[in-house]
This record gives sequence, structure tokens and C-alpha cells, in this order.
Amino acid sequence: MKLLKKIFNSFISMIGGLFVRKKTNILVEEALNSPSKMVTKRFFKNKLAIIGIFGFVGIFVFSFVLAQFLPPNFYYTNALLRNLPPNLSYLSVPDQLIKDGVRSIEPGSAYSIGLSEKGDLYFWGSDNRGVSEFPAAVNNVDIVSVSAGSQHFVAMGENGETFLWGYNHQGQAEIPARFASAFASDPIVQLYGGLDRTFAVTENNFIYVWGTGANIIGNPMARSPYSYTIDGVRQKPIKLVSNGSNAIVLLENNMIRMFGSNNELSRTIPTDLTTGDKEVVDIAITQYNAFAVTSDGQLYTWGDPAFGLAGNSVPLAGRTNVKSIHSGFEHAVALLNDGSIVAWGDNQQNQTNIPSNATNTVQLFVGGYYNYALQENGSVVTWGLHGFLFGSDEQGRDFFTQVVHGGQITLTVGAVAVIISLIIGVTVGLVSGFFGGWIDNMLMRFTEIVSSFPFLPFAITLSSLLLGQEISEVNRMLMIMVILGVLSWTGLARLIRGLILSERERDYVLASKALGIKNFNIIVRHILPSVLAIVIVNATLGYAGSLLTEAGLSFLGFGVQKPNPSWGNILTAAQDITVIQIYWWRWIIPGLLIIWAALSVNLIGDAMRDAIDPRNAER
Amino acid sequence: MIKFLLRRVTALIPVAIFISILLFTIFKMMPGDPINYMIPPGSIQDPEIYAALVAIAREKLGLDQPVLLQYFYWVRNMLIGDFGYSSLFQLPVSQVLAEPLFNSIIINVFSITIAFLISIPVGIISAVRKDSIHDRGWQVFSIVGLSMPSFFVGLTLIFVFALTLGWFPAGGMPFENPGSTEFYLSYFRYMVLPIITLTIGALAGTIRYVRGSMIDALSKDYIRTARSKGLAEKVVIYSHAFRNALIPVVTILAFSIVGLFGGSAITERIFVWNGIGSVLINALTVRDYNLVLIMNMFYAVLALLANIIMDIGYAIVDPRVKVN
Repeated sequence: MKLLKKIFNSFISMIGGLFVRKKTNILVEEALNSPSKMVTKRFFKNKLAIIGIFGFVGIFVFSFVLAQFLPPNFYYTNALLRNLPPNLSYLSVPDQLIKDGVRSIEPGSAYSIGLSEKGDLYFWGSDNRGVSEFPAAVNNVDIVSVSAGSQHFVAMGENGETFLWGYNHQGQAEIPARFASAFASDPIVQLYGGLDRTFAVTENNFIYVWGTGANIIGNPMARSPYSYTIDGVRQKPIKLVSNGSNAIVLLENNMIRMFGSNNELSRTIPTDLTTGDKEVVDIAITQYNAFAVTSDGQLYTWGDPAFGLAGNSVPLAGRTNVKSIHSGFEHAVALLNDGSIVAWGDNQQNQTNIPSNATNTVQLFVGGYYNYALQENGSVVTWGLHGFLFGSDEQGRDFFTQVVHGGQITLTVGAVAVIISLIIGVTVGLVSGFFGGWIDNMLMRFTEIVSSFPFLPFAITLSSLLLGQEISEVNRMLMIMVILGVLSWTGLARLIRGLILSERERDYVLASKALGIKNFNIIVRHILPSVLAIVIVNATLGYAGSLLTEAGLSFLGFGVQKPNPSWGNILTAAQDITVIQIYWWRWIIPGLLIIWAALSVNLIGDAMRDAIDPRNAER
Repeated sequence: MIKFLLRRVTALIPVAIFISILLFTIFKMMPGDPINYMIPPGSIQDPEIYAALVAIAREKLGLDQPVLLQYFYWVRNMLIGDFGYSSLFQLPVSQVLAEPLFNSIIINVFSITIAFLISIPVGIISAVRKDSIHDRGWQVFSIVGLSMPSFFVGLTLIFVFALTLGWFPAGGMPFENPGSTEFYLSYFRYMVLPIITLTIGALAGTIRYVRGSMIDALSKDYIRTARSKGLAEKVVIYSHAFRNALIPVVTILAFSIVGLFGGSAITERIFVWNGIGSVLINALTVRDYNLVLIMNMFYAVLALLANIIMDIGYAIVDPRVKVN
């Protein structure tokens, strides 16, 4: 507490000192101060020391305090969120869109597209594979509907124009040539995007599918066109939702049909909904579950209950006021007749944390990890994934969380390594210096041997030999600390030996000896305190070095192993040119953090050295 | 002088023997049979043929002998210049190391030379004009440099000079016909970024060191004497102070010379430079223990020699140091 106050006061006086020059009288300056007080005073007078302390406290809070609030995501993978640049605007609906009136909002994987009442399109979020590059013709036409796949968009113009753009690796973003003649005689009236596929409904009520698997014979999605004739009439599809394997079609006569794989989802579909016993008004789908709302306000769910989306996990049991149902990748949201919203399912990206001001919702737009609730007054309340402050990595993990937890590991490994080297170095130095003779000779030979191994190559060798064995993650990390510590004590041992050699010739040691004090006590009680300051300075500067060494070792792949992140092994990815050039945030951010940490520790160490030995400051 | 050298080298022998035992023991203790990497189990269906092949390989590598005998064979072979066989490269170790050693030495020689050419004048001027803008600037540079991991410097250089400006290749080795003029030109282009990385790393430390020892020297009594005699400031600084300031600099020079051969694993890795550090990493990933063992032994002996070089260096620059 006292120290904190001191730091605070000196910070204030540092700022204040820029404007007001404090007057001191001669009596104050002549006042007698104890050496330790003088050292502390000199230390806190040094502006660089204060900068260093604030820097280090900052990085410490960043890694250790934030890590308590951010659950580790080491094993999370999400192909749709890979390598996204730092961006927090995934939910920032453009003002112009709200002003013009929202007709619909379609969220994709890391972005959303909005259609205004004027027929204009707006894009926000992170571009992923060219989805923000709208075809030029889109701007000249009034758009009537837009739909998003996971990495592509489809839109319809007012005169039946079709627009498809975005990632086209499965052919999802263009109309396939094999359907061209069919569409010439039976034009498309509605387009639906679904993950890597596009669904088209034609004037004659046929449904065509293209994209993933849709041109592979035998694939359950390859049987285009689909159509449903009930009571002799080919029914008009009015809504279509899809996931990776199935699609549900809501027909004009309020029945639903499903096509695609024969799996649990298609087998467990409630018969009420397919026979016309119940009138379906809305449908939604996630990878393993499906949802339907009937005209009497009930919600039906089916599919695998393991994902917390169906069955007992649905917080709507017995409710008869459900208006519509929506789904993202792993969550579901229902709008009730009174304008309130209920959400359930996965909450890793805050998808189900509904803000309290979404009470007068008239329309809900949900997709991916993004939720938009259009209010009565025309405003839009949003929740879900805001984006990534530090971008995302190659597994789609939030890079900020990675970096925070990596900092925790790097700072800890460095500290323990320094403590190990301190213990060995001080012991060897003290014993060697105090006893001299053959003990000194032997210990110094040993020191010479250890120091004759070049640090990095030998550290790599040792860690590769030790890490090759089957050991647990914690032991592995302990091993790294021991290797770093065991290889870096020699300088300190020599330094302390030298100090002791000169110290033990002092009169006070002689006096202690004459009084019959035991050697051990002389070393620990009398000599050690006199060299303590130098030991502390050395340890501090050694800590900075040890941070860098850990980072280097992990960078080469011989340090902390993934999935445990460290600043070094996060940077291993930067051995790839693509990462250096395009995914710059993945090496610049952890790199700067390492520099920040090492720099603040170095500044503190330098300032301490100057404070202990003012002659040093003149150097 | 010769007597001194002889004594130092003789004192080195027990240390070298101890290191060789230590290293040999570490490597013998490691699990994993090198034979498994030469002849992967399961690669040959017939268990009898497999056993026979393993036995042959064992005999060839001398692994059928008792450990103590293996050690003596290893030392004897090393002394007569037979460093064994690398299972990774399928070549004798001496042939494996020749080219990478040359590649490592050349970038290190350049970077050390440049680092000293810059840091000595900069250090002197910083010391003479202490607390000037110039001094402050270099002080900031050196403390930031000391806090900067070398791979970050390397990555930044690649990002700016290779990927954005396209002046130099991002990494690799020249692929032109060795010996042709194009080869040397290309070699030079590939070399530039690694050299800059290494130089920046070395500069931060050496500038601090030169500056510190120069300030020490300038505060000595003989400088005051020289000044009071009325000598020109230039003479005082370059003739009286600088020569004395050079003495501690010998230490870092000696260590730099060791680093010359040690290669720089990180820099070489980033720039895909075929140096000795890269070879070590490759050898470790495929567990070519024979190669790794020899390399570590080589490093250790070099470091011991560096201590002797340092002593000789001191004797040359400081007449007060008596070699005996």
C-alpha cells in the first residue's frame, strides 16, 4: 500500500513537475536519509522507472487479471471465423440504413447485409472472401430481397434480376450453366443463400440447388429440381431454410417438407406439421435441430437435444404466443406476440444475451452469431458477436483471448526461470566466493563448463530431447523453465563471487569471524544483504532476457507447446509468408506485446541499477 | 606467450573431456532408437529380414558395443577427424556441416563487422556528448533493441522490404548455378535482410557497452592530466581515452567470434537461410542425434577457445596484463 502510494505520488509529482518547479530549502536537502530511503527516492525520481512500472503493471493486468475474465478458448475451432482482421463493427448497422427504414438484415459469417426500404444494400462487418465487393449492377437496381450464405450473397432485383457474389469455391455464387436453359423458360422468383449453397425458387414452383455437393451424383442435395405436389397442385414454397445437410421448405398451404440427407433431423420431423393438422407459419434450422411455429402460437422443435436447442432446453414450454422463430449457427431466437424476445442455445459469442431495451420488437433478423431486433420506432437493437478486437487466428479463435492467456504463460515461465537461475547463481557464487580454495576452483570450473554451451542451440537441444517424451502439459512447461534457469545462472554466479571476494576482505567480516559467528550466518546475515541490491537488479534485467528467450524458444517450436498459447508459440505461425503479409495482426500484436513487456522490465532494471549506484547513472 | 597458450590449452583438456562425457551421457540417456528412424518399424514385412537389417545397422553404427567402448570410439573418431554419419542427410557429418558453416560464418562476419563499425563511433560520440539529443536517441534505440526479439525484427524487415517494397527476397537460398556471377549477386541479395537483422540485434548491446566503457575511461585521472597538459580534445579522446576504452570491448568481440560459428537459429529459421542453426533444428526434429551431438561438442569447444582468444586479446590491447 505504502509502495503504491509512493508510486502514485511520484507519478503526480512527475506530471506536476512539468509545470511547477518545487522550491526546496537547504535544511530539507541536508536532512539525513537512510541509504535504502535514498535508493527508493532516487528510483522514483527517475521518469523512466515510472514509465517502466506503469508499463509492467499494465502488461501484468492485461495478462493476469483479464485472463480471469476471459475463459480459455484453446480448443475452440470455427472454420467460418478464421483469420479475421481486428474489427469490432460486426453489429454496427449503418445510420443511413436505419434512416431509410430497414426492410431486412441478413447476417453472414463475419458480416451482415442490410436492405433498406428504398431498395439499397448496406454492408458492415469484416469482408470475408470478397463478399463486400458488390456487383456494379446492384447499385442501379432496386433490390427487393437479399439472402446470405456463410460466405456469399444472393439478391433479387425488382424486375427479377438475379445477383450472386462472394466466395465461389463450390460454385455457390454463380448460376450454374446446367440450369441456364431451365431458368430461361421458368425464371427465378426467389433466391435463398444457405451456408455454401444457393437455393432458387422458380415461377413454376420448382426448387433448384447448387453449391456444395449439388453436382455430385448420389449427393442428397443433387436431385434438383425439387417440387411438392399436394392435392394435385404444385405448392408454392414461401420460405426455405437450410443447414449443411438438409433444407426445410414452408409451402403456401402451411405444410412443411424437408429434403436432403436422411438423418435424425429428417426422421423426427413432427407429423402434425407435414400433414396439415397444424398450420405452420415460420420455420428455422440449425445444424442438428429444426424449429417451426404454428398459427396457434406454438413452437415445435426436433432433432438432437444434445445441443441445448430442442426439447427440454427450450424455455418456451406451454407458450402459445410465439410469433416467429429464427436461428443462428448454434442458437435460436423466438419473437413473441407481445414484442419480447426469448433466446437459447450456445452463448459463446453472447448470442443469447438479449439487451433489456429490445422490448417492442416488430421484426427479428438472426443469422450466424448476430441478432438484430427492429423496434417499433424504427431503431435496431443488436446483440451477439461484436467482432474481434485483435482479430481471429487460423482456428477462428478470438486472438485477444489467445494473447491474454499467452501473456500469462510467457510472464510466468520467464519469472520461474529467473528464480531458478537466481537460486543456483547466488548459491554457487556465495559458496565459491566465501570458501575459496578447491571448492571455488571446482565450482568455477563447473560454471565455465555450463557457460561454454552456447545458450540457444543447447536450450533447443535439451528441450527437444526432453519434450520428445510423453509428459503432461504442466511438466512440459516446468521443464522449459528448468532448462532456461539451468542455462542462465553462470553470469550471476561469477558476479556474486567477485563481489564476495572483495566483500570478505572487509573488516566487518573479519570482526564477525573473530566473534566466532558461523560461516553460514556470516554469509546469509552479513554478506548477502550487502550484495542483495545487485542481485535484484541482475534478476530484473535477467527477467527481460528470459522473456525474450522463452519467446524465441517457443517461436522455434521448442518451448511451450500448443494448444497452450505463449507469445512465442503464437508467433510460430508467422513463419508463413501469407501470415506475415495478409494476417499481419497475428504477428504484429504479440510481437509488440513482447517488446512492451521486455522494455518495461528493462527500464525498471536500468533505473534500479542507477538508483543503487548513482555513479552508474553518469555512465 | 607460447608458454601461456600451452598452459591454457592444457587446462582446457580436462574441461573438454568432462563436457564430452556429459554430452555423451545426455544423448545416451535419451529414449528413442536412432535405428527406428533409419529403418522405420513396419517398413519391412518379414520380421526376420527386419531383425537382420537392424542388426547390420546397429553394427555399422557401433551400437552393439558396450556404452563405455562406444564413448571411446566416438572420442577417438572425433580426434582423427571422423565425425560420424548423419542419418538425416545420409552423408558424413563433416560434409553435412561444411556448406551451412560457411553460410553462417559469412552473414555473421558481415553483421559483426557492421555492428562494430557503427557502434564504436556512435558509442564514443555518445559518451563524449553525454545527454545530448544524439546520445538520448541512441540510448532509446539500444534499450528498445535489447527488448526486441530478433524474430520480430526479421518479420518486420520481411514485411517492409520483401513483401511491401519487394527489394529483397523474403527468404531462401540462391538457386542459380553455383560459381556463376549471377549466383554471387543473388547470394548477396538473399543475405542482406538476415545481416540487417543480426546487426540490429548486435548493435543494441555493443553501443551500450562501448559507451559505458568510454565514459569510464573519460572519468579517469589520466584524462584530466592530458587535458590539463593542454592537449587537443581530439587527441585526448581518440588517443588517451579510446584506447583504454577498447579493453573491455575485447570481451564482447570474443563472444561475437563464437557466435560466428554458432549460427543464429532464429534468424536463419525466419529467412530460411541454410546455416548451421537451421541444420541443428532440422537434425533435432528428425532425431539425428549423431549430428546434434557433434554440433554441441563443436559449440562447447569453440566457447572454451573463445576464452583463450579473449585472454590473448587482453594481452594485446592492455600491456598491463601479463600473460604469465
